[in-house]
Amino acid sequence: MTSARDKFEQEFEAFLGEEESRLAVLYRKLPRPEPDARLDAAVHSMAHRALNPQLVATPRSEAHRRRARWLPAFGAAAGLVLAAGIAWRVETARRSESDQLMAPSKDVISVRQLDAPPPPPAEAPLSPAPPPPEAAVTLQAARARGKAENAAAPVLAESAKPAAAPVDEKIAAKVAEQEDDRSTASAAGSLSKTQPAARAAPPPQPFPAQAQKRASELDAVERKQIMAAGAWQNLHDRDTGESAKTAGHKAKALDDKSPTAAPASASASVAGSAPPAPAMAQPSTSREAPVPTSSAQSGQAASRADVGNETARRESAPSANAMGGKAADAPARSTDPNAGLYPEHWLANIRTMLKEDHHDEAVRSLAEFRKMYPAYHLPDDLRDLK
Amino acid sequence: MGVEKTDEELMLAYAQGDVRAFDALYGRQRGMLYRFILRSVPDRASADELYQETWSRLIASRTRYRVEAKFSTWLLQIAHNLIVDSFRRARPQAGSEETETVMRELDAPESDRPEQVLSEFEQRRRLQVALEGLPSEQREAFVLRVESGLGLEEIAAVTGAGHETVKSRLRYAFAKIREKFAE
Repeated sequence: MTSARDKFEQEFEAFLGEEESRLAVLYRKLPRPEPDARLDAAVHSMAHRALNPQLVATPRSEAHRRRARWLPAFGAAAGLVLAAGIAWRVETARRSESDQLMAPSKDVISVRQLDAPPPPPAEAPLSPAPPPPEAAVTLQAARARGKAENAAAPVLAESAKPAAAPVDEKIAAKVAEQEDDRSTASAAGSLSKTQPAARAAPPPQPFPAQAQKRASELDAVERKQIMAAGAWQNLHDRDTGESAKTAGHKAKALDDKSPTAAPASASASVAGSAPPAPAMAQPSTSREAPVPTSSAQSGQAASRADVGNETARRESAPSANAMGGKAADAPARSTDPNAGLYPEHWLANIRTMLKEDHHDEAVRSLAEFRKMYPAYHLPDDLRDLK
Repeated sequence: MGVEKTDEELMLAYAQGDVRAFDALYGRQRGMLYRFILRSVPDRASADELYQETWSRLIASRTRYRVEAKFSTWLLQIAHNLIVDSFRRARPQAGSEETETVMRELDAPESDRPEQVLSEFEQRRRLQVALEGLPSEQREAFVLRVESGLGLEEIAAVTGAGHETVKSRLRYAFAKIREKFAE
């Protein structure tokens, strides 16, 4: 027993003192696991990051830092885009506003033209074309949209403040109010009220046969545009008939005013009786619309529904855009019934007049054409027509 | 040929910003430290966690490092403290009753311990089983002795125990392993 303990003590002392004891040798034959590469990488990453946290980081923090670095740049770019968008919108609104302010002055001019002697009677009996079904549907849609526009009208009137005089602001507000009432009333009105109105006052067509032929050639959009323009003009005539005197006096007085304030005031004075609150599409519409030359027609138009006005503005605006702004760029209004057409169609009508020996009519129409489109390059066959 | 730097010199170099010194130091110590931890904890996941945490502590305290002992002693001391903490969180320490029983059995006749006839494979297996069966303090002392080659004083420094305590733990560990070979 003692010998066993002594032997144990000897072995234990050898285990403690010797580097290569029997157990130590045996232990080294055991599997010698080592840390895996992931652990090594993690430790190395820690060690490197501890010395230079800016240069070495774990992938997660690197991505985080990269994202954080791009955030301000992205924010700045987004801000620039936003600012550019706002500036563009403001500029667009300002241009539309200036167009809107310019247009009514032409309306006033047209009012004075209405006072001119009546034109020669139409050569052919008026053949009022009933509005196509799609136009009627459009009228309903326009009526429905009227309310939405009424809501927008005060905003537009507000945007017109810088350019217009305070008096005009009041008038514009009144106009908006009237428009509101009118659209409410017209929304309650039936479509049958609108259709006879459109039928009762077609724009004068000196060449009904050609016009009908041409209308069949035009696509639906163009026909709607023409119909709508006629309705707008008729309504306008009604209004101008009511306030012709006032408008005439105002137009004279406005000629002496500044170019910015004058159109706005004129617009308000004309619009005060009928047209709705300032709308962006109105100027192009008034330019496109054929102008009735008869005061009787104006009186007749006064009985028409207001819906036509709204529809005209609604429908002609996109049509003008679709035309690439050709008609909208027309510099002045014309009494020629072809003034509402594309220049190419107008010229075709002039050629038709020449073929049918209506030389004087053709010359007169070409003169009107030249007035409206002074920069238009006339074809050779019409250039020297006199 | 330059003289190879000691572990302590490498650690000081790393503390002054030499990353390559750390890489060299890590290459020297990684296996020893990992096995020490792995023999001391029940599973590999805990060993990985403690291993990484040990290096993290070392890196964090690099500027406070002073050459007062062997680098491996300092490193193992950090690991030991973490292991002890993990044991405290996991389960209570094993008692010493089992080791007393082992010591009483040491007086068995020598003829009853035919370890010489065991194959080497069987010897390794029994050593592995014996290590796993040791109480953590004894196993730790044993591993520090045979794996890291530390003497009694160094083991005492690492574990924070007294010289005689360490010797006693080693004695118990040695006796139990020897007993396993006798089975």
